Amino acid sequence: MNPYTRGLGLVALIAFSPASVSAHGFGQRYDLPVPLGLFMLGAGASVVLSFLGMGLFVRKKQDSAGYPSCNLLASPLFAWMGSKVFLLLIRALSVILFCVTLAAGIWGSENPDKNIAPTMVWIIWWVGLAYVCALAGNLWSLVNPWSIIFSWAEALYRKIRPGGSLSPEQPFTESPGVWPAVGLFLWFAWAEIVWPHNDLPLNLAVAALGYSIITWTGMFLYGKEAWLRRGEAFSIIFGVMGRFSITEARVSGNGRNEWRLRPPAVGLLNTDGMSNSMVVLVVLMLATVSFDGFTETPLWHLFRAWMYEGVIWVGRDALLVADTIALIAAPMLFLGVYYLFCILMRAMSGSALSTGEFARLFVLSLVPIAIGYHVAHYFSFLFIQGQRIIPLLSDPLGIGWNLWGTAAYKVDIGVVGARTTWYASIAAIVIGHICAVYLAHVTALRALDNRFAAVRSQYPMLVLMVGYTMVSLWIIAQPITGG
Amino acid sequence: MKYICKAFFVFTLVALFQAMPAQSADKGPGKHGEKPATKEPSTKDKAMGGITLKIAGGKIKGNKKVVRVKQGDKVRLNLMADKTTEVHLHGYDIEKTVSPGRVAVMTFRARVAGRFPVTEHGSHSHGQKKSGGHGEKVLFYLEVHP
Repeated sequence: MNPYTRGLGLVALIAFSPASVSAHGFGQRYDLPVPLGLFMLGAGASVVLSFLGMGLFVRKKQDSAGYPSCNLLASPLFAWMGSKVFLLLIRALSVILFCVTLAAGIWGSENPDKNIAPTMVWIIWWVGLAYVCALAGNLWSLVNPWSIIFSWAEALYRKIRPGGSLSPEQPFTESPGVWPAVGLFLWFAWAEIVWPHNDLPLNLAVAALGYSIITWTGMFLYGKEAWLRRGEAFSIIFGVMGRFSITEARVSGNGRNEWRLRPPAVGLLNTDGMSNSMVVLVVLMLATVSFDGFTETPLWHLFRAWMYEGVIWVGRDALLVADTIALIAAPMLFLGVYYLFCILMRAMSGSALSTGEFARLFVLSLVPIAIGYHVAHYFSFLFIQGQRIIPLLSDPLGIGWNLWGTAAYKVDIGVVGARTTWYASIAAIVIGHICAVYLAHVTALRALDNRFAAVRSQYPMLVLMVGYTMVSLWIIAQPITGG
Repeated sequence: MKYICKAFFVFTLVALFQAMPAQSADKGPGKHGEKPATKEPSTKDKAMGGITLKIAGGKIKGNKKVVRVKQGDKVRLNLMADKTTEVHLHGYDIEKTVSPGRVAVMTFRARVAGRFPVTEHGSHSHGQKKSGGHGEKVLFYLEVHP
């Protein structure tokens, strides 16, 4: 046996072994890879639009706060959404779903298809909520059950002991950045992509309980708001995605809650308070989103076989070790490439800013590409597998209930056709790319002394973005392997 | 400085062209044992006599991993097996029991395009139970192209 055939045999072994059936967390994708013609169209469009954008987009320095927006809650059409009753209802619903998911994980059916927990966690919450946050607005900040339950507990505690508080008197002031969130998100990414048993309801419930304990302990020790800003990984990740969306929630000068409509992506222009740890977290998010798609490509199976051979001495868990190494290596690679391009940007613009400052300034401008890719990759998955939630809501534990009469619902695989998925995918990635080029360009104009330095700094950035967009397009055009 | 800019432009183009052969290469055989599509019977044959697939040892004879059909076709799969097993076409959600010495026929109209796994339920090997997805063994994929 020559090494080549041996390698292929190994690939076949791994590709068809049951352990590799898992692609993304849970559920199947019935997508066909994007055909070559469309792939080329998307690729060509991104390159052409990038260079057009370089010349045509904003030329003037803009002032940082300036974008048009209007308060939706001021209009009678949306005013009811700001009412206390409605907000309480939404929050209560979120907490109920959270508890039902946990309960189903612990006491429900062991079959992932009959239990609401895997669908709720991997499809509705992780993929679906990311769509909502990135497109409509940061819904997570409103429905985060950990935050809600903690504030309810706090309110209860105040009733029992007036003047008391569960949060520390002196909120955590020293800045550890968002490093706790980086660690927790890496753990989550591992569970999503590497963990072989991540679709078992009980496993999910135990992991969610573990995360809950960490979150509530963090809130108890450092204060709720401080932990939401630094430790609660999903608040930060969904928050970053929400910056791309067309709405933002804020409290106006006179203390009124506002929900403002604004142009898309402008939230990513605000780079105040970007720390090195935040750069790492954002790059980690970009890398895991891409890596998740990469694990469905044939190239990954070749690479995985090669990695597997390297760590075969570990024994039974060699594949797990190989996957884990790859999961950690991917963000490292992304970070390395990003810093390299920051060095180039700095060199080409001749700016006095440090490379680190460049990294902090421009990292958010890559987010639209990741969002475009996320939307493209999960488009049909969300609309087809997401339908599972309809029967599962009637029978969350998988024990024969029919609460709402929908338990017999069958998933309709025809809701989005292959062509719709292809065009939507290409459109999402190209639009994400255009937004990214625009954001980076505006950021450069703001941060650098003159227009020429700004434009020069954007050549490397453009190459990085075109490359990143190509990788995203390439993944959705690959024949899918595994399940 | 101008040269560096040009170099970046060229690099971008090169990166783009690099992506192309990677695409067409995947159309070829052998990535992980997939048979090239050309060896399959034409669409017409599929409608008439159907596609015959022999299951042995948890895979399709000849190591066929993908069956391609056109959207709208009436598909007929003639399944044979070396032992009694339950075959499940996901998505379309069709299940057939296949027993040795008898041909089980799966007929359906390929209404929806996509890539659908066909799995085997019968082999209750508890050692390899449950992994991601469904933990069932994928026999082959049915690709319905628009």
